[in-house]
Amino acid sequence: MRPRVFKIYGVSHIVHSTDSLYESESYFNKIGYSLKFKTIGSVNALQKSSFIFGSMSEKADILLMSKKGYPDVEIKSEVNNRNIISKSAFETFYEENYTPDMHFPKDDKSTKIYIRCNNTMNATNIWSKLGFNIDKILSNNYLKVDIKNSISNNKVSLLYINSKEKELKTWLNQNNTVCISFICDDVEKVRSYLLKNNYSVGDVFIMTPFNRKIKVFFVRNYTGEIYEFISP
Amino acid sequence: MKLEEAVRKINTYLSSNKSNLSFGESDNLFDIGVIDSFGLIELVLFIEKEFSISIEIENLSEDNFSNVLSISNHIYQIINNEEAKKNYEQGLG
Repeated sequence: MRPRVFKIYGVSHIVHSTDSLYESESYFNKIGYSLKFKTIGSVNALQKSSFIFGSMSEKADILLMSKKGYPDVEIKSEVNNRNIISKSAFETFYEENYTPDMHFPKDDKSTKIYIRCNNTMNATNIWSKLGFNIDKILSNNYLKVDIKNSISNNKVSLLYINSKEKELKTWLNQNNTVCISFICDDVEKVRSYLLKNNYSVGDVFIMTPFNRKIKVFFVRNYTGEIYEFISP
Repeated sequence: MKLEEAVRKINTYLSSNKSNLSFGESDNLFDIGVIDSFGLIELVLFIEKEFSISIEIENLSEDNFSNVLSISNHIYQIINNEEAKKNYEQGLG
């Protein structure tokens, strides 16, 4: 059961990192997303540096795209968005009714995110600990977690896939989906809980996009992928 | 607590803190851009503090939180249920 000291309301947005802001914006426009806000030259918080491969760019350009019934997508581009040899562990299928394979029914409207990892049980432990249900064990190689988002009536399906690749560590400046962001009521409480459970967590910092105060921290899962938690 | 009090407090919060947009009590706050998903969580935390109640995640549905009236009704119901429960328990005691 989820400890009642904090509440996690669902997925806020998916972070997509790119070396071409323009191409990514065009792609999301084509599939029905529209621009919610744009920040050029946003200063990167130092607290992100341990989640960045190599040296961190001083600034990043950020777009937030939205589509009703789907989680927002943050498109982020920075000078050192580099093609790191290892690929991001995440792959997101945004397009409506797109069914990448047999693991999703044809009418499944969730946003589907595939996550390659070297141990699905280890990877999904974080969701058990945070109180989410791991709905289905599809086979020895796949584990699916459905995250229903009550705040914006969308559903995100995380499909963890066992992979034999050795290096699956994700970095925020790779190209592709690099992080999934969750809204909670208190990032300090979630961070402290994850820290007690030996997750690699970054420090909390404050962002102020469009005059809003948002508290943020990143956490790296045991299996290398990155999640973000935000709260007012 | 009266329903009107909840309506007034929610109206004041939304008008003074979060938006320059004008809205009616039955307008869908998401559709007209007064709140988004992050704004909803800010609102929920305000309600929990202001009214000393807890909003369950399961109850954050569009039915309960789409407009000022539905939000106020939800608050009103929670408070009245809690009061009824308290009275019942006192009666038993």
